[in-house]
Amino acid sequence: MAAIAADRRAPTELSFLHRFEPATAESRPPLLLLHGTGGDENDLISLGRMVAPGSALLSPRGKVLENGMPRFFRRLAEGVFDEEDVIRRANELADFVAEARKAYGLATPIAVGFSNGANIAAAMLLLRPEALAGAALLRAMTPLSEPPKADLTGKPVLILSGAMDSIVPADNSGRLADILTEAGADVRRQVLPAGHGLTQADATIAARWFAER
Amino acid sequence: MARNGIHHVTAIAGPARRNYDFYTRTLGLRFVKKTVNFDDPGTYHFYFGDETGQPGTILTFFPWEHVAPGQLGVGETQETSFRIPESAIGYWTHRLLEKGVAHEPARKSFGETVISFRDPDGMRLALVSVPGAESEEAWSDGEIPVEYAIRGFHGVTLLLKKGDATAAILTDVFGFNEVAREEATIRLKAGDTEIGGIVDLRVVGDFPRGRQGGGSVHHIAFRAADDAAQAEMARKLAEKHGVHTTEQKDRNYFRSVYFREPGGVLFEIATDIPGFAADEPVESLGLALKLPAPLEPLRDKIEAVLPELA
Repeated sequence: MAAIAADRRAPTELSFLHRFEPATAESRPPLLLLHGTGGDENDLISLGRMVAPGSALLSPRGKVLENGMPRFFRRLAEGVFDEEDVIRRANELADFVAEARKAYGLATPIAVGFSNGANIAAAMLLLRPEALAGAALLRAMTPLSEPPKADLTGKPVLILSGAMDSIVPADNSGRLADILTEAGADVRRQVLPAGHGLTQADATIAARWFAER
Repeated sequence: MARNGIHHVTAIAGPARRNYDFYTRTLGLRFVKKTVNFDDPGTYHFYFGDETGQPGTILTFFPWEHVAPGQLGVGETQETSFRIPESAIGYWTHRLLEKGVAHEPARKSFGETVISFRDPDGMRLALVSVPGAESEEAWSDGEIPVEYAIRGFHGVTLLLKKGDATAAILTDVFGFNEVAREEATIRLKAGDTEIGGIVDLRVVGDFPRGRQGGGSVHHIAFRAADDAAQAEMARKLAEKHGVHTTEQKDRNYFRSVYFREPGGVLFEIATDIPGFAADEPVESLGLALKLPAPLEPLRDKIEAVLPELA
């Protein structure tokens, strides 16, 4: 067991409870893993390892509790977001990313978000574009009804939706793709034969997409 | 004539193409159905078997391109064995060597010659030479001489902490009887069913639990002639053994109920009907991607994400 480098801080000293796994391959972009409602910082670790072998993994736990289930921002009902809270939480999370980058010596991460985690990642792209180098958004919705003008020129974004998703209406994720494309992002969207849950196709397509980064 | 015994075995595989190549080319089984996991249509469901995919010959897989390897433990299927004629032992020993398949030297078990080997994902398989197997039907695409070809399942070996409750269900509900014991293994046989007629219970006491993954058997299905026979088995399970099955699920080629047996292994009861010729002719089984009607509208999306097989 090697000694822990002096500039490593305990996870408890940063503003989000989180899990961190250092990179095992140089020059791979780090991942910011953002879980869905009711998940935690451990949820997407294995997905992260699968889709981006060798990348550092930074996985925070959402701070909002809905009936005891961690999330990244408040919602008023299924699919109805508290947009003020979306804005506050996206900024809070972007600040955490900056802190963690300093603490762990990381490059700008690419977000991998599922469901609520994908929604906060989309909000971060629009509100704090400098915080992310790109994003893989799995089962995302449009997080803000009136998105701000952001410059996402050249940032790669993968949007994977489920054709049988009972939670995310198809036109909603299509709208998100349009907003991000308009902001200059290099958007790839694919509708999978899937419901709201993650499937093998999500992992395979995301892995292929990361291999091109 | 209603028969008891194993209907099919379903396991988790790694990359689809490697799995397909191994079972069709190396072992010479027939690819009897190319469909998808109805609960995750972006994942294949492969069925291998004899010419028509008769119950007792069907080995099925869910292939995952990025699967993590499984770890065998108690409450799981340890080994799945195929029947071959006694005269085929030499042929198969040579074939496994030639194809670079990891295998163990032949050994005797319950008086039969057994060659244990592993598929590319580490799934534990065996070839068992059985007197009389030479007169059983076999399918061959010509590469493996038909006289040496696999004749369907011999049986499965379950790794269990305790065997009593599992044996009780197999005998009382599925028509098996204890026929022999050898060291820690109890051998059960389903009446006079030759193909897929054996379940060995290897009772090992405290042994670590496993982790399902590539190479793990997901479930073992037992035969029911039809829905009525299946319902009767489910009733017996509930009344005499306090075990409840799931509701019936239509798998297109059979209809299924599931339950976890007391030792931890996932069991299924599958009907012999309607079989694999339900949606395509026997001559062309396995050639086209077959989808259940509700998934047909998604065919383009499904074909777009399934891995290439050739």
